[in-house]
Amino acid sequence: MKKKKHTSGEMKRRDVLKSIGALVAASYVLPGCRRTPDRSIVSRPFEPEYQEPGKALYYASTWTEGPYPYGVLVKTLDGRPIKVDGNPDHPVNEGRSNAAMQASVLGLYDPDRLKHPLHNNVKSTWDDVDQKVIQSLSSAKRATIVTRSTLGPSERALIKKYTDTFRGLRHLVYDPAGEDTRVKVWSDVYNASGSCVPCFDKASVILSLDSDFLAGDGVELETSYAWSKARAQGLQNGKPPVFYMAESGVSLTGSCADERISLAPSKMGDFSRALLNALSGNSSSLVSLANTLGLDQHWIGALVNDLKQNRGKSLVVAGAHLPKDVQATVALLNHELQAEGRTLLWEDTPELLRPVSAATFKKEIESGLDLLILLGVDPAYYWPLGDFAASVKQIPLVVGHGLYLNQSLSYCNIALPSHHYLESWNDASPRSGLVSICQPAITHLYNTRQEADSLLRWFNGAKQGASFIADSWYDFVKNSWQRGFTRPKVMPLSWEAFVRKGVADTSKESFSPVLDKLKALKLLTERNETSSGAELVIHPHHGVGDGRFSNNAWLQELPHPVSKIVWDSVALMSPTTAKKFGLVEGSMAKITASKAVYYLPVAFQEGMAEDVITATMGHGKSAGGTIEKDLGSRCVPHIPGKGFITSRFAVGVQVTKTAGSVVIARSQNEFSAHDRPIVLEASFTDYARDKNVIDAQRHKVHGHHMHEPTSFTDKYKWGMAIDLNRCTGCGACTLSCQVENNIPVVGKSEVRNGREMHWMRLDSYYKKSPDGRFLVSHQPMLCQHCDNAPCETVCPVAATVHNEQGLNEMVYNRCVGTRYCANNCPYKVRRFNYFNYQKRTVKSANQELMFNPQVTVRTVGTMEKCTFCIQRINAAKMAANNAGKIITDEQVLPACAGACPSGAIVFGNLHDPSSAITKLRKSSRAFYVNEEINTAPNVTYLARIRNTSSPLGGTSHG
Amino acid sequence: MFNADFDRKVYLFLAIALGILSVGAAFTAYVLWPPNTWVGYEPAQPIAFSHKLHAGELKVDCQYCHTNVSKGAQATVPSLKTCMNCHTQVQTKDEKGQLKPDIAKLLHHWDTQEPILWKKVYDLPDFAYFDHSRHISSGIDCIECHGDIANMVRVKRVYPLGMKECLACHRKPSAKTGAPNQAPITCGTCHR
Repeated sequence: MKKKKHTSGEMKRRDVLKSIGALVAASYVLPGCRRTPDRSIVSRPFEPEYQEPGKALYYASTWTEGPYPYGVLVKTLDGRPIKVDGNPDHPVNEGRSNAAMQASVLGLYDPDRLKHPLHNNVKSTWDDVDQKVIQSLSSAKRATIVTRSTLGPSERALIKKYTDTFRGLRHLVYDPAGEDTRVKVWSDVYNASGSCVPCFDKASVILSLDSDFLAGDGVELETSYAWSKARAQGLQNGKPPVFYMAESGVSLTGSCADERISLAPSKMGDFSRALLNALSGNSSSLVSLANTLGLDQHWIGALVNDLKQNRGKSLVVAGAHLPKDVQATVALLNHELQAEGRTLLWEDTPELLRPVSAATFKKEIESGLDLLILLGVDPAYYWPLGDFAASVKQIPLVVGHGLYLNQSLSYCNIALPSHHYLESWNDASPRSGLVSICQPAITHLYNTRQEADSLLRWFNGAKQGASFIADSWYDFVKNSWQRGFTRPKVMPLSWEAFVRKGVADTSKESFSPVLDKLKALKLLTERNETSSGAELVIHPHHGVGDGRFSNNAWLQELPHPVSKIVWDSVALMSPTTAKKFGLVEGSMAKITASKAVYYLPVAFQEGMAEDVITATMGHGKSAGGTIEKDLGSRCVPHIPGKGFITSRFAVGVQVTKTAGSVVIARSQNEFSAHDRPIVLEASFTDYARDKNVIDAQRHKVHGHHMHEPTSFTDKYKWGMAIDLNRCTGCGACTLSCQVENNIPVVGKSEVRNGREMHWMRLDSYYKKSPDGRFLVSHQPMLCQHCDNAPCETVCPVAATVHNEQGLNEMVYNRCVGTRYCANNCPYKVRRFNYFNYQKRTVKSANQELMFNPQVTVRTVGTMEKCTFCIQRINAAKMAANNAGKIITDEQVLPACAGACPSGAIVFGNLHDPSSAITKLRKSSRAFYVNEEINTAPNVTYLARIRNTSSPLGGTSHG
Repeated sequence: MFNADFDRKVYLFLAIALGILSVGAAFTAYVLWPPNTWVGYEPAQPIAFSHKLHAGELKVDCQYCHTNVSKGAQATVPSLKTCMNCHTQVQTKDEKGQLKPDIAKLLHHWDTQEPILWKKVYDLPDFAYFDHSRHISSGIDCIECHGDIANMVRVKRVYPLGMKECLACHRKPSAKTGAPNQAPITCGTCHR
């Protein structure tokens, strides 16, 4: 028995030895079975003109998705659009961009887009649906086309052709978020068509009443630059403008104000009227109002004084959501201040398309329509009047055109997929004499069609042999130009030259209409109801706007400029107000305003006016893409009437706590700098007296340090300067960096874990001044590229090292993921891939086309951080070296600096004595973050100088 | 003490351990051996284009076909149009009067306008960014990395192209002056 076992053991041993031998042999042979790269190079039949592999090709176009058609420059690489920046030739945004524009490229590759026509929710063909629509169009007695208010001249011409040709066809504009009391009242009291342009660069004193003009309330890319330029110039010549703000919430614009108070929106009317009286000499009402409301006496005194002394150099603006009487008072204030023709100009614009109210719209669709065509609108989401589906059910044929199968499209008989604007031909004319072209940068990715193209085909089908109409939409747009319909009279530009440049602009003509004082005074008497209870203001969301970008994950993860909330819509209120209603952060509140009921999670925001709730629209959609669907809570404008004074502002609001709670994610949870010198500031009074006031606050390195001062001898040393006096905190840099550097989104729960991946973030610090005012300071934070980088010394595998040009380099393929570097970084700018975030979000091959091929896509377990856009530096270096030249200032522009709408970021060569950066580094406002620990950063911050005489409570020198 | 049972267990343990180790080693070697360092890779191409004939005997300049090499990162393969610049005329026939099979293939591609999928002989890892133009304008000859292409019928990799080889050349003193090479060796030169 035993022997037998032994034998079997012997056999086993031999077998084992044999197999070991085989395995050892295999271990040598296996690598010999080499993997072939198995990749192909495709040689095309022809080389397309202008296309060189790996070399960017730019198309001038127009961002027609947003509320204002800014000019863009689309960067395409090997035929695919990968980045959108502002078009420097466009006179309005002059190369600058905002976050939504930067993020628009994501929408092109979005796998959630509607990809083929649907007929009764079944996949159909274009021929099939065209036939049905044409049939209905030819026989319809009553038909309506519904569009947004932003239409180009060619689109308007086509729709006009419709309304002229088809009897009983009407064109309606439905744009609930675009309702603007300011435009309405001002064009009324000035009796002028056109649009009013506040000139922030010409005003020495600015007063904003709840107007978020630096972010969304108006043409923010034009105003941000004008505003920041005036501040920079004012600081230089010793006369900076002073910006007063009275606002309900804490907006981005409010955080940028020199003198800010919080004031409930219902008090804006009384306040503006009292101010008007005070300016004409009777300040008693203002004094008594200030006493009743407990307003800051210093603020009021300074404001009245400054306004009085700066007639002709002052400007007052009020938020578009404020009621008619406030707008009329502001018009009178500007008149009193002689602003017209000086700081307030009017531009001739093509006739404005006025949105209709929901009530009119409802009446229209329930009036026995035969055909309803919805073009790029989602009325069902905004619908404040019962059941939208029931209203449209009676219509025999409802056709919807859109990017996503949104709520409205899901009720349509025929749902049609639209082109993204990067696939479209179009034109835009925001003011007379200015036309810009929207041209495709790629052919359409899916079986989609442009809305206007559909309209054109249906027209041609329904009116066989119609005289003027073009065969294709491209021809139509081209004809509009060539036949002089869109082309300015004095513009000999050919179509090709126009498309190449992207924009045609004849001299900007402004005029100054006369204020009809009686009309304005009459509006003043239209007092609004005041009632007890809270007040509600509904704003567009800082990222997703009125909801049109809500399926864009980049914009969802862009933190709010002040509250830093991501991925959600919340009811913001001050902690004391919340306490009054028995609410805590995250608890669900039932907010009843007139007939509207909103369920929103509560979030605290210090510094807000009491009994005021601000909420944002754009979330809580019940249909649409995978990201927007069922995300957040719905809060949309209502019909003005009882309770709602304007569609976005309600009084007499009841707030109660309801069941449930929501976890709110913020990218920043600590808002106090705890008196440490992280972001330095001074009041202008102090700064004017002593230019060294910032320098005195700095905690400089003293004593001996173990580091020898590092010496850099190369001809380049890269550095950045960020002017906090110009920065508005908008987040365009964050988004631009995200697009350029293939930065993933992580989602709400990972933001809660502190794992957001933004290389460039915006830190905000709250502070109470000694006299009790609430101050917010913004600070863009990115890798500081320290000369003595603490991260480098702790990396066990030398995956992060310094180069001779001052860059702190991160080598992904060397990184093993110990995270020591991130732990040792005093700026928290290193980001770690805890998961394969890209793989989590990139679900289709099309999305991979979006990546910037010049930057490695990082995988799980890799550390990453700002590189100063080394791919752009290398490209510039390569070109300069090939040509035997040296890089000059303008030749390297990191993504953040290229996007910044206020020109706050400057990048350049510190070893070039004539470069802008070298000069800024010597500025008296220059400081470095955490400089006392001798990291020797290459990012210089220039301190913000608030134009105020009251103390700011600066940091003490420790 | 050493009974058979125990022996068997030890052997079994050893076998399994060694087995795991060697399979692991083989796999690691397989994974870690970067393809760009393999020498002798010589894939068959869809059309048996001979560099020996074109670049060697006919002395066609490299940049006649690889037009982008002095302008951008990629050297690029020529479009069909470039081939047809000559091959509309040059249509060599064999003894039987038939078109040579590879020229026939080319003409077929031209007729159908169907792109040719050439097999990639050189393939650097995605995290390494190499730029041809910089090297060409610094006077580096194609031969230094690609070998004597003009004498290859089918292109074959003759030098390994790993980081070691890159660095060796970047550190090498200049052949002409003997002064240290100006080529940068910081990580960010190639990795970003």
